[in-house]
Amino acid sequence: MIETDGLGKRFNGLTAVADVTFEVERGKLLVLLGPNGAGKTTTVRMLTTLLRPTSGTAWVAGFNITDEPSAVRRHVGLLTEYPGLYHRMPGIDYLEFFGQLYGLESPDIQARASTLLAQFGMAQAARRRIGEYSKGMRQKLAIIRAMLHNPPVLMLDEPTSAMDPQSAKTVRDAILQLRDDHHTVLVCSHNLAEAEILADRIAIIRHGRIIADGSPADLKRELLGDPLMEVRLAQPSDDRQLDLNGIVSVQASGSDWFRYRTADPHTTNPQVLQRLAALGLDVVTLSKAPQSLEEVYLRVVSGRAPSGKP
Amino acid sequence: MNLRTALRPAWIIARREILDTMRDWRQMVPTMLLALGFPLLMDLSAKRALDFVAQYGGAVMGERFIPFLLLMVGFFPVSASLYTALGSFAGEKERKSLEPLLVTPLANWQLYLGKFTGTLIPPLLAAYLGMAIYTAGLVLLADWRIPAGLFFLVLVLATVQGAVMVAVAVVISSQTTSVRAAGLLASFIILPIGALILAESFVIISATPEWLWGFVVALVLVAILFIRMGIHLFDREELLVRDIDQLNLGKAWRIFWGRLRAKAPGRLGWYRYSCRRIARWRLPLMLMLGVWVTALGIGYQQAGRFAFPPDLQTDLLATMSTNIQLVQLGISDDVLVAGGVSAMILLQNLRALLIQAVLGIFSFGTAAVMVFMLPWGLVGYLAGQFGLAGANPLALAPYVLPHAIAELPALLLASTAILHWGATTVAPPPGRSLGEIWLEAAADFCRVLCGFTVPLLVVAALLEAFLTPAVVAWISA
Repeated sequence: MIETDGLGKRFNGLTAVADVTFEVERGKLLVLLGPNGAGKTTTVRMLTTLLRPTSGTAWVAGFNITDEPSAVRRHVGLLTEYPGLYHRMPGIDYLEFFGQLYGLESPDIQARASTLLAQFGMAQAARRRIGEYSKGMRQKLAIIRAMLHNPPVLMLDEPTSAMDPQSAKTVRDAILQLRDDHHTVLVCSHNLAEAEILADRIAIIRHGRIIADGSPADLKRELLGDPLMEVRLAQPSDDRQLDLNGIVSVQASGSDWFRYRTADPHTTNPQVLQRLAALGLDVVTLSKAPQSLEEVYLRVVSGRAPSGKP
Repeated sequence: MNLRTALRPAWIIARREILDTMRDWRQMVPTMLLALGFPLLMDLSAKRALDFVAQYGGAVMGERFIPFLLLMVGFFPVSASLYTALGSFAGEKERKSLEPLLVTPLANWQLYLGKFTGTLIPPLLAAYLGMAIYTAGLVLLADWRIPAGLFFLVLVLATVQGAVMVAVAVVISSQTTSVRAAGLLASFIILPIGALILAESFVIISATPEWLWGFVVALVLVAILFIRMGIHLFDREELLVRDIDQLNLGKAWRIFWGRLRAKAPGRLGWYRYSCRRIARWRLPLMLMLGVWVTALGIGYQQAGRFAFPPDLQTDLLATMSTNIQLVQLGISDDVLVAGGVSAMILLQNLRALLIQAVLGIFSFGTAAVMVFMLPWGLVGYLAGQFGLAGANPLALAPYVLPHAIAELPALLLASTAILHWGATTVAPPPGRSLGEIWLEAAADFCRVLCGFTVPLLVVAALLEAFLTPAVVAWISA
């Protein structure tokens, strides 16, 4: 549904995006993750034909962005970085306006708008002027605008920015629903928690280049190394007592806990437990230590080598 | 796609613009005052003026004053269209509402036409309303009826004036990043329109309103040119990406110099490249050749209409020969004097070229064509006078041909370059900014000027000072 091939963009000799290649299949959700100025918005603008690539090309919904820009725009819903609304217009008139620009008939627009407004908890505010809306409501209206013509591909730039937690959850649920309805979704974000919740795949972009790409689990495994196990002991122990006989090497430890990495927990963990029992140390818990996407992101963005990797 | 389907999206944009204007009290209050209050004020002024001049038997003054006021009543609400038109793109960009509009499947021309129509209709309706109120008020207050033909003429004039102002303002708006910058550039509209209104007032007061149809035709052409320019300049990427209107002389110079230099190896390479570029101007070159022939033809044809007095006509050939021979005698003895004459001829030609270039820049190249036509029109006129004197019109050839061999190609090339320079802004290639293409066209003009025109004009000036008088003298002998 979205396929890019060496996509690049230069502005006055400055490289904004370079050699971006990825693919998002139908019904999948890709989160483009990166710091401000990394090239996320430029990539989306190229994919929506607002900017012409200076190198490479891309296909969106089966249409080439350079050769068939109008067809691409017809099949894409875009939530722009800023909501970009007409403040003197009532919300429902705004949706009617954009629905007509996408060639929808008025009854269809009304029906679709009513459904979406209700889904986003905006039905009561539909006839109010947009200027009276809160920031969150404006963002929701902009998302409804992007979804109004039921496009097969959606590109959402920071969809939950300026939203309270409840509204953000409503929007996230709506995005996941879109994916479940076989829409292809590309989300630009620097919200790591959100990316982890939404993404089938994450592409981390920095200085205009994709530097990591994969599912959240794959990225963690690849970039943070083998699973990190944490053992909590019933009583404090010193280093001399904690002789694990070379089964694993301890990564970190405290008086009553220690951590180790293992590529094969099914084999290693029972051996560790047996050894601790042999040492007379009672185990309270043995569990997988949490490894956040934030750690992955920071590691990748700062250019540090992944843990457990040469 | 039929026309109605194609125009529908443009109308949707226009309708929103119109509704938005009607919801904005800052635009509606002054527009309504101009549409409702101002005409009534003008009615009262007209009544007072008619009564006043009637006391002195000068009814004719009042009669000329009334159509002038109609012109004002029609113009003032239309002038309000500037405000909305200047903000049409720059304002949306400032409010960050442009990107969602640009990502719709609409074609560029549909977006442009929608904005153009949407900003033009409300002030036009206000102008029509104001003119109707003024006309009705005149009947009621002064029992004075504006002739239907004149009313229609002023109505059409107000419409095309509005179209020109909006077309230029939309072009400015699409090329600037803020309403403030667009407002500053609006003086390029206000000043010429002010001069136009003065000229129109003069025409009305001098009781020749039918001349205003000429203004209508000219304004329609200008509006078409600017609409075409606006559609060609409309570029989604340029609209989105241009964030700062920073004066970058270094970049401007690099674009200009890069184009002029063309990275050609050596002088020969540069000339080869320049010839290739000039060869691309086949169409404007052919056009200018056609203009040259037309100018000669018009001049020749006008000779009969504006004939020399009979006494001058009879010895026209003899007089010209004598004059040329005298010139030749005067300069042939002294090479320095002849050189000075050559330099003066060269300077005169360069001065004419400079005027041609400046006029061409501000008239999309059209004034350049007219300036080019002038000397050749005169040559045709003189040839016509030869014919009227009973001589062969081709007898003029020795007076012109020896130096025209170099002068004609020089002026033809330069005029074509100026025409290209002016016309590029009307239909710029897609994906380029107006500044870039303007600078490149300027560099192309300089290429022609430095590489071809000036050397040829130097040769032409030398030929004109040394060879032409000699040829004339030889033939006369």
